[in-house]
Amino acid sequence: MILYIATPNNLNTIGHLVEEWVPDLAGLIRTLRYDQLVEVESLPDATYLFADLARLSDPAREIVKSFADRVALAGHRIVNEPRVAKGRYELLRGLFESGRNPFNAYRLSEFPREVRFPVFVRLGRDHSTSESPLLENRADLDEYLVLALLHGLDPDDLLVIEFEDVADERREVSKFGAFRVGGQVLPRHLLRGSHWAQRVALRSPSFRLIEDERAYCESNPHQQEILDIFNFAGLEYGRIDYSIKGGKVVTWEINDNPMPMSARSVYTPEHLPHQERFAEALAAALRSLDEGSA
Amino acid sequence: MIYYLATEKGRGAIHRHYERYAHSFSRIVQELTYDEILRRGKAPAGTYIFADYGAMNPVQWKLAGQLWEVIRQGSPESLLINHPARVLTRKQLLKGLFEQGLNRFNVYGLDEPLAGVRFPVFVRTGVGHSGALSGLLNSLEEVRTHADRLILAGIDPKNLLIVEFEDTSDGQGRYRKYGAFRIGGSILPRHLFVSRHWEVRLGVAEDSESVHEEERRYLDSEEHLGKIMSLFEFAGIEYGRLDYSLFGDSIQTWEINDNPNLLPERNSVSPGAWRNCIEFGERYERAMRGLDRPASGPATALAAEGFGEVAWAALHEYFSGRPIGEARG
Repeated sequence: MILYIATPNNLNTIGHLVEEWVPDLAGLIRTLRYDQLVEVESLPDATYLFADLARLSDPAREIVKSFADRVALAGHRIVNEPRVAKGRYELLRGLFESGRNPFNAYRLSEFPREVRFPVFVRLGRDHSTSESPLLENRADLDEYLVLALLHGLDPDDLLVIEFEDVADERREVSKFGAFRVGGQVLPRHLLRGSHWAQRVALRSPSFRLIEDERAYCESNPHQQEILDIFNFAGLEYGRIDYSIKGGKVVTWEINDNPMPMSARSVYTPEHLPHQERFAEALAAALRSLDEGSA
Repeated sequence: MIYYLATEKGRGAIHRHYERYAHSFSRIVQELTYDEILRRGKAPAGTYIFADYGAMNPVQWKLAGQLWEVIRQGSPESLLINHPARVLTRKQLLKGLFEQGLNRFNVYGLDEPLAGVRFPVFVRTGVGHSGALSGLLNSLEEVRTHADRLILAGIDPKNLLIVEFEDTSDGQGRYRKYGAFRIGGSILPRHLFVSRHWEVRLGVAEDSESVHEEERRYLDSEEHLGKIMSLFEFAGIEYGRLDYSLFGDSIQTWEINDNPNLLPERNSVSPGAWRNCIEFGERYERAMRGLDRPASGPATALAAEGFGEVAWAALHEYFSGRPIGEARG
């Protein structure tokens, strides 16, 4: 059994996968909210998958670390070790400092400081789209931050991130997404568009994009580099969102509580075969993740 | 015109009122969020109610303070209500009332020594108005477990308060909670809830003719008005609602909500309760009209970039670890 642990508002990311795509998984995966950890007296025999760590505050993470101590002491398998997994800020900063990413990220507590404009502002503990437009200079950044802070955005959670231009010669941005499940890398999607923060899958992808996506998923071309980045992040389960620049992976984020599948009705008929293949591959990887825990 | 300023999270108290019941009220009161008025780029002369500090983090509070200062300087004839440097946080208010001997119960932050806590207690937040977030707790261990649960559910531990329970029930085990508005110089009794549950809320309150009668007498009563005004003065709040109970003759303040809802949905209360709501609603609007200032003088220019320096200073204070409430004004 896999015990999939996530924050209360984001517990059902795997819902479509289990309900619509691979119903067999219902017997394998059980979900648990982080706030329910305080009620766990005896630990069930399971693989403990700590999803959604990035959304936890620092104090919440400390409580989860103590729980992970108990799990480790009892000898159960832990996926996404809370005691080492990096949050978004730590990951982006670490990737920059180690030369893996060409752009830096800052917390507001580090300012004032020289940054490379343009930048954008987003929340560190949220996986929704970027919060701000591109901000070209310090005055634009200040104005945006004043309004965002007055609006009530959490100063502890805001990140200023340097923009990295990864558009190709046609000024199109390609964004790849790939899952890691234990030791496996499963390419998930290829998004392409003209917006610098291309994030949303097209409702009607072109034939060419579907073909490019299929080729990407079959060839799994960045597998080893992705595994290295996940290892650097201390994560064994999640989805990395990245682009390629100069032949190297540029990491935007690792979502440690991704939604692997949307509802079937979302996909076009020509896009469905790829979805079926991915759902099966993911299910197989999840089953092997749990091997040995029972 | 009265400009009622609230946070994004707390917006709607005024808007709901005039949408539901008092369309003409929208001609004298306009509700805006703090960032909306800044985006507009100008603040016309008038009356400004700075509401909803109870939902703000310290950086927001500081920026609201700057907005106050800019409007005050740009439009000296405007009437500004709820001064950001005078308003107390919930924790400051309740601790202050305890230290003054006005409240019989104390409150603690999670970061304070808890050895002297008088049990039972309950947990709530220092921001927002969601009420108790636990039942009555009888030991530090229970407090820690509940606090951990809330932190894991996403609540910032800096915002958690441990509140000593004060039993204000009468001889029949019934609890009474009163609510009274301050609107400038007026105190308007708003409601009386009666319940056998210690946490008295609208949803659990008794709904009977005798309670409606008692509430009606309370609306007309002047008995507590002077004490209530002095409690509002202590809190630095000129617009808001004081929620309290009585221990003997002594007012026990639970909180002052500086962004209170006005009237419930018509269908959510009984006819007897609604009659009292209507009575309050009329008095409320009369008191608000008394705050309305005719526009005179030019509008004050507002520019977000002019707030940048204050924002960074507030962030610096915030990150240097000053407790919530000290980074105000």
